[in-house]
Amino acid sequence: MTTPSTQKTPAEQALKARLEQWVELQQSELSLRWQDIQPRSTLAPHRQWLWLAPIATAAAVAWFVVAPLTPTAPAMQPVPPMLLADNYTLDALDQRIQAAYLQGAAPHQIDALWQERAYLQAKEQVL
Amino acid sequence: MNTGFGSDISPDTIRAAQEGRRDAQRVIFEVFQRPVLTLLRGLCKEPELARDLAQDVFVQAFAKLNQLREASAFGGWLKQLTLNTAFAYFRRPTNQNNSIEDEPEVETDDWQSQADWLSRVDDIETLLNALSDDERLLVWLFVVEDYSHQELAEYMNISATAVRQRYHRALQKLKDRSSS
Repeated sequence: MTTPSTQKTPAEQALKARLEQWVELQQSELSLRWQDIQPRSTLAPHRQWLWLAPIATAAAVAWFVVAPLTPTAPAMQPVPPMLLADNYTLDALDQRIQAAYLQGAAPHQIDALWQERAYLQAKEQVL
Repeated sequence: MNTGFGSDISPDTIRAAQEGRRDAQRVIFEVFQRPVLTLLRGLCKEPELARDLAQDVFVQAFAKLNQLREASAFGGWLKQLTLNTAFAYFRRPTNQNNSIEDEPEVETDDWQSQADWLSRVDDIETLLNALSDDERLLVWLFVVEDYSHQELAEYMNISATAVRQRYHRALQKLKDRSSS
């Protein structure tokens, strides 16, 4: 692996021999079991997601605490359901009535529009 | 020292291990268990620590094996990983038992010129345990593993001069202990 890059003195060479001899003797006392070498990802597959438990618990608790305090704008400020067909019709009728007045329509035409509007409004209230 | 990191292992076994096959990983473990343990035993005072670090080395090796491009380089790669693991352990603040820089130069001519003092040493392990962790790393890697002072300086992130001073001081300590 490494190349000897420094000349060893006699003392260092002797020390090296003694150390190599010593570590060779240590071999018999040192061993590992294959069972101890388990990849971290497969050490306990059924426990892999356990670390998420405290986070999930904290998130759930936070939600229960914070959610009721959070103002829900749509619920407190009801918005007319403009997407209903009748509301579009009512709005259109208002525009037609306004246009009829501006264009100097005959009174019976304007009355007819108002009656139609009254009918639609009554229908919306019933529903 | 030929610690066995150059052991032959087939590229097919390496590739199979890279694919996550446990049987191939086990072959690698059986072949390289001894060199990893030997190197770490030399670096660690306690055999239990050497065993724990070796276990960590193999777990890391199999987790990072996909980073290895050339199967023939496995031995060197594993040795590097073993050293990195040891250095990472001994670099932890809680495991550093003394400073590294600014140490006084020691006179080393007497021990360098003679080896007879070693012949008086009966228990080399006890003598070795007199060294600090850093000193032991330097002595083992320089004397046994033939790393240069410059290489060790890069590993330890200190100057080569500091490595040389520390190494000389460690050997002087060994000699002093051997005669006491």
